[in-house]
Amino acid sequence: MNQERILVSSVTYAIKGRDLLRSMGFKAYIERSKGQLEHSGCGYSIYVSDDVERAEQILRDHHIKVLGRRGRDEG
Amino acid sequence: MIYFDNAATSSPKPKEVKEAVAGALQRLSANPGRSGHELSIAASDAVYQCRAALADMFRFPAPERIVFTLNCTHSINTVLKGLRLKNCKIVTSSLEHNAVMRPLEKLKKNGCTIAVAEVFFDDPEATVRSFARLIDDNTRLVICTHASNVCGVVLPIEQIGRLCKDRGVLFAVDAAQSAGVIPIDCSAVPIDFLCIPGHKGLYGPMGTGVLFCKSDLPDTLTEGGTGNFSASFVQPEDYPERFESGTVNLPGIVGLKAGVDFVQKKGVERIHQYEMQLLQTTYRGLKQTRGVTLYTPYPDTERYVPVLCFNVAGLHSSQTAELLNKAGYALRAGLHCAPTAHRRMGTLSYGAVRMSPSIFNHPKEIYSFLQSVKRIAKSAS
Repeated sequence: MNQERILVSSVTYAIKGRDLLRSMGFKAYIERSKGQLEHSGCGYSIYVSDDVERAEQILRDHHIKVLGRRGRDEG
Repeated sequence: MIYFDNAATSSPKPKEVKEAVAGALQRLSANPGRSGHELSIAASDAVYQCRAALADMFRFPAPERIVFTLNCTHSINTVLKGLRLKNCKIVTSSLEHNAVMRPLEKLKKNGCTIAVAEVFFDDPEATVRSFARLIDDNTRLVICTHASNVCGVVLPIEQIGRLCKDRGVLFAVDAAQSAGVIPIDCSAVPIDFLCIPGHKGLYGPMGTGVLFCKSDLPDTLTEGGTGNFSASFVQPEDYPERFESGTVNLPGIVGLKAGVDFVQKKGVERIHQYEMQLLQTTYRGLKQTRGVTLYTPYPDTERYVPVLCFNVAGLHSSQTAELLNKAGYALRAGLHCAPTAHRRMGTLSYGAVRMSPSIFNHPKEIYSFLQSVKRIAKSAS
């Protein structure tokens, strides 16, 4: 199971992205981002259980601003 | 009390809206877009679902560019101040509310000139021509009402929007009286900024407004906490958070979503047909009442929203409204915050009485209202 999460710039993009991924069959949910706060401040992430590469590409294709990816253990 | 003041705010609110507001306070009382706990995520979700419902209703492609505001006036101010307008020409109509006219007046201090296009009640093509004549190379923005809050006449925004697009001018629409009342299709009409209230034709709670931003606004009206990019003192660029600093009105937004669902379920066109039947019955009855003056041609369903104005001979508009209040009818008299529209109708000095029904009114109420007006007109003569 992939433990990475996709960091997005706002809660609005997080929900839009989650709904989009769910409509495409992904199991997706939102978490508050952890990790280095000085870079992006308090952001939101989308956790997908599978195929995070494809999920990220889908988000980008739908103009959802992706800030990067972060492993679950990285916080 | 029989309520005919729906142009000010719709009343009563649907049962679903009241339940949604109460439910939000009971079950979603957390700050959306701030925390990571389940309750905050659920609140954020509820806010987003309202954006999605609005996007669907107004056929707007990007829910994230739908900004929640306090009311339609707040939406209009966000546009007029956010565009950083200086030393340019702005074109508006002769039927505007002070929500548009007062911010425009202030923009004169920035060197802006305001040109007013005449609206022709029975000739939309002539209205478009009057806008076309005023747009020149120095014009940056056209802003106009979609439907008058005084006389109910609908402006041809589709043609005005195309005209603006052809001339490279931004187009903002004040849809205070038309949102939820007549269909607005943002995918078909070239509107850069659509400003709407949540509490009128969408039957949401007071304190809710919406701004649809198809184009960019370079500046913000308010800066502050948005729940993202918190390490920076610079206001984030992302919509809608850029324009929603501070905690949003969660119960209001959840109530607005219920209002949108209510209108969608009934159907905008069906509601409009019904309300126009009530209005047209009123118009015909008032037309036959001796001593009553009306100010528009017969309000056909294609070119009017359910709003009309009248006066009774020998009475100030406020006296007529007071007598109607005593008889059990809620109507608004005066200038309705729209002196330009009253100047256009010739009622600037004494105002008019405005009647605006909703889906919750019944034909029987119209007949009893007409009898009351008849009695008032007879005793005033």
